Amino acid sequence: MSTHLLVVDDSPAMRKMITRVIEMSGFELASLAHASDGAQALEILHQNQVDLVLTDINMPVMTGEELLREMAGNGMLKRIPVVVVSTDATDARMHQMMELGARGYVVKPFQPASLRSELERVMEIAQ
Amino acid sequence: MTLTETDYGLAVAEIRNTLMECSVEVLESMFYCGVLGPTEELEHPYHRYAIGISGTWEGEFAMGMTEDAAAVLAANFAGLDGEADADQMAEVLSELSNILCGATLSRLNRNGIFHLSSPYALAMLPTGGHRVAVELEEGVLQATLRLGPVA
Repeated sequence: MSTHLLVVDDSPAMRKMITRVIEMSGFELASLAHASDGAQALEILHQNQVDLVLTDINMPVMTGEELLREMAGNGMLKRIPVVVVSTDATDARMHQMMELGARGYVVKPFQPASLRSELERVMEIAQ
Repeated sequence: MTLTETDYGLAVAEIRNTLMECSVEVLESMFYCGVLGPTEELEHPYHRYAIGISGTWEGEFAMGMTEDAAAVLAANFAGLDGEADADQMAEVLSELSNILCGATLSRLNRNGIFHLSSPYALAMLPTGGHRVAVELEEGVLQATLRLGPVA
């Protein structure tokens, strides 16, 4: 099944890199949207079909943590799986994000194959 | 009182080894760049970026590199056939410094909580701190970690 994916990261370079890696990996995409912070992501989530969110944590305006809190408080949005992509591999941060509802966590630096397998794992569980 | 690495319970060798390990892994896995090994420190790197660290520890991470290394890393990360322009170069080098800093801190202290500033350009690299330099197939990258309050 093809996935409507939303990539949220304040770094334009990182958004492009993630997009390229996903497209080249063969992960089936129905559509791909980008947001540079949590607030922009929420706008997209309210106006478009999104099956999976891939988000950074440390962003201006609205962080990934705040985005997860907002999604958890919304009956529709809390069903959409979120995978966190971050350089922060501390136990406290990973635990915090999973407690807030993240379904997956990919630590930078990552191998392209590991990103794809995490996305597939999360989508398989969500279906 | 000025905190030192010793106050954080870290050994100098541990910091340097972790900086080196993270640099090699990040460059190879996400920037598709061949790393030849450790090399001499740069006196005047062409590109210089830093990130402020707060939270469980405080300090600063700084990164410098030669012009040829930056060109290759930017093109590889952005998936460009040609050369990256100035804006693309700045975006990629900022992200590289962010990944290197976050990965190094997480490995040095898995139980810590860190807040990283947005990357910023530096007029010159700071003196002091713990630094490693790695030789790439093209150019050199240098990473520095200073823990303790930064003036």
